[in-house]
Amino acid sequence: MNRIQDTGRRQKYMRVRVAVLFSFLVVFAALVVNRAFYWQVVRADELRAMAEDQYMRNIPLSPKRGSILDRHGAELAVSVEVDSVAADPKALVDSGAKLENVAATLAQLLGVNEARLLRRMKLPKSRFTWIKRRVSPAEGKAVRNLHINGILVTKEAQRFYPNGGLAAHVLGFANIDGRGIEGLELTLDENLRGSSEKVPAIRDRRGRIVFSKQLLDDRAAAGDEVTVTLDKTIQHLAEQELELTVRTFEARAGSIVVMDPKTGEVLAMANFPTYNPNVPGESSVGQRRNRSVTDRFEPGSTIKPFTVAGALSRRAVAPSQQIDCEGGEMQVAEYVIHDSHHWDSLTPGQILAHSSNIGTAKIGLALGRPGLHQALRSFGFGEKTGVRLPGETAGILRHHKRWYEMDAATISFGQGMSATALQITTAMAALANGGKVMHPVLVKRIRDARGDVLEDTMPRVRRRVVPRRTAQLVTEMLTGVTGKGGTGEEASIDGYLVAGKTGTAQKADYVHGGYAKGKWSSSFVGFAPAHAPKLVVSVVIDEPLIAYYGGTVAAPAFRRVMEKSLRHLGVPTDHQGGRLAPHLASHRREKLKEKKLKESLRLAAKTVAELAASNPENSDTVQSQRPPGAGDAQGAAASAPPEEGQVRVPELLGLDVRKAVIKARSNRLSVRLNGSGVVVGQQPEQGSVVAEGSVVSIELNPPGHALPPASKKDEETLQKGQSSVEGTVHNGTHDGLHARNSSFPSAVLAQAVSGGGL
Amino acid sequence: MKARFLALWTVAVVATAASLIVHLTLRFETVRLGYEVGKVRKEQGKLMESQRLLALEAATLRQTDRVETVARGTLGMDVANAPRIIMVGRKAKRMAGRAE
Repeated sequence: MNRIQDTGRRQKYMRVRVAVLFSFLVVFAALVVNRAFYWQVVRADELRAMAEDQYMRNIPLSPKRGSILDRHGAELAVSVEVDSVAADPKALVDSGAKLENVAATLAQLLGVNEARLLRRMKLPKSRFTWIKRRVSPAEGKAVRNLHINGILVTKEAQRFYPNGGLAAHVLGFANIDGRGIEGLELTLDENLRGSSEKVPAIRDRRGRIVFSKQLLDDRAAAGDEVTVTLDKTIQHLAEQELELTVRTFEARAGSIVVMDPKTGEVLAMANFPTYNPNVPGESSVGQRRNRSVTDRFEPGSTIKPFTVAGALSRRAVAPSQQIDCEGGEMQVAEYVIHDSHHWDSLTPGQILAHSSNIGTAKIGLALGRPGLHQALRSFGFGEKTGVRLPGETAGILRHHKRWYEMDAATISFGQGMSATALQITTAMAALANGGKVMHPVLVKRIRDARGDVLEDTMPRVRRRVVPRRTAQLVTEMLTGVTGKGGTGEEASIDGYLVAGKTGTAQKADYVHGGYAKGKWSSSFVGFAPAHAPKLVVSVVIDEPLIAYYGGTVAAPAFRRVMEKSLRHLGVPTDHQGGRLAPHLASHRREKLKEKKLKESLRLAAKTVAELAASNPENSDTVQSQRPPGAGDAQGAAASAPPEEGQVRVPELLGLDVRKAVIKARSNRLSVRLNGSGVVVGQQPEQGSVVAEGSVVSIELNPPGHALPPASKKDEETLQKGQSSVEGTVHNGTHDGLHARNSSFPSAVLAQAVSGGGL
Repeated sequence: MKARFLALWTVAVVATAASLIVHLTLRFETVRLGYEVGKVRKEQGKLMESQRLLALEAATLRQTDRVETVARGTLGMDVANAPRIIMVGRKAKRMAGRAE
């Protein structure tokens, strides 16, 4: 009984225990859940922040400054990492190192002042001070090897200009902290610098970065890459020639601007004196000034083409109008305008060629004050071009309402106003491209570090200033300037027709008023090839001492820069060139002779036929004088002059490539070359009459190689061809001789044979 | 009843242990990969810097002054004057056509 009672009691006690335990567990679980909720939900954000604060660090991103490239991708400015040495004075003191010893060691290693270094190291509570920035890799390594606690070697970006002073004024330079100070480095600083920002990253207790999403692609913060329109080679040529000119004529300074007239892209902008942007501190402010855009000068006669263009487009003068040049002196108000030569009357073209002040003044006066002001203003004078360079000046072109009585006359030939070299170049580019004033472009493209294009500059027309026909007309007139007897003869280039204008202006004396005695600015601005302009080049030389005429000082520099630049760009020589290359000149002479000969023979043949028709006896005599072989049809075809649009294939066998190509081209034929060496075969054969511009296929073999069988045949053909070519001349000669004998118009034929023309 | 309770209990314990192991493994792997990424990134940075230095060196060697000096001095080259330049090929034909 008791046993049953005990069992029942134990069971009951067990249940109670289980219940108590369960209750306890429930309460405990509730407490755990409560605390968990409190920590995980209620204070979650605060605790997460605390945790992140312990293991996350904000890593400062020091983005590389973007590179500057030329139009072909050549580096003009790049940034690379170099070592810089700094100290943590507090850590130095805490490490127990003897500061005097540390300072002595570092001073010796880095070549810095020991006392100054020691003073910096003893700065109280300071945690950072520079010891030396931008040290050499060897110096950085040596400092690292010292293993001094509190001396740090950090990486810093340094700007390098690998081409030294090339395009220094355009590029400018950045300071030691990577901020643009001059040139494009300044105007595009925001793009080039990139964004300095701090990104969170997990670091371990040793400070090593464990992970950072943002750090995986830090290109987002890097500086943009800028491609400029400059051509490194043309820039070099311009700088080289400018320095040569300034030194030769002992000038004070000078500028050269080269522009593509179709797009307005600036291919070179050279200034002298210059400096090395790698060490800008070694140069003066004057050396660092980009004179092409910051310095204005009185353009003098270089303004005349724009006055004439304005007058022609407004029909104030006619292209063939004779303008009275008053024999070299003209009174305007109380002043007298002079010409260097005394002309009675000149056409606008002659006025430009001889640079007549009086003629231009008369054109300016015919245009009227508002007309002249509007014409020059529309060419861009008196307003900034908007090129992305700091310190650009607009030049001076006062409103016509504020002009003095004399101004309409003097401004028309470039006195009483001022312009920059870039403005003159842009205005001349407008004449070269058919009358459109373009926005000068210097920045071609901007890409971010990922390669995405942020900005791509397309050619932009500012305004159309004169009709195409007027621009062409003025271009024709400007070719006379570089022609024989023109003021810019020195600017003419063998093989290319050059249009341009010289300028010689006395400098204004801003201290005493009027013009400074003996201070001149000489200039030349022009373009080539005149009929299909590729480049506009302006040369401005400030205060030359040896000579001062633009045609003497600036024109030769123009010629050299233009000639070399055209060659660099692969622009073929111009068949209409004023001064042509020797082979082209002889080709032109030959063409002329040939044409006249053909014409004479045609006339002679016609006369013969007419005479023969009227007098059968004479006709028989003529036929009997034909050379052997001329009687058959083939011989007649071979010896007869080719018809209009046709040419005879010349003999090319045995010639080297150069001579063969010249000969073929002088006969208005194209060539296809196979192999190298001397010509051993050609197709079509020499003597064949083909259409102008036909392709002659030339087989070449190295000299000394035996002629292939086919070429022997060609050789025979050559001889045959030669005889037929000779036959042509003999034919004429015979006809000529016969003509004399048979009362032909002898003067006509004598001229025909000698190539003198009719 | 008891067996079922034990089974469920065991499953709960095993699941908890397994999730803990998976979590720790993932955490460990994340840290390891983080170090790996950091190391590779550092290497990439070094290589990019070397590339930049080499580009700078190449640009310095391509200085127009230097090229001209080498061409004229060492190689004895000279600038060809206009008559010695003959354009051949399609471009020349096109340009000549345009010129006329």
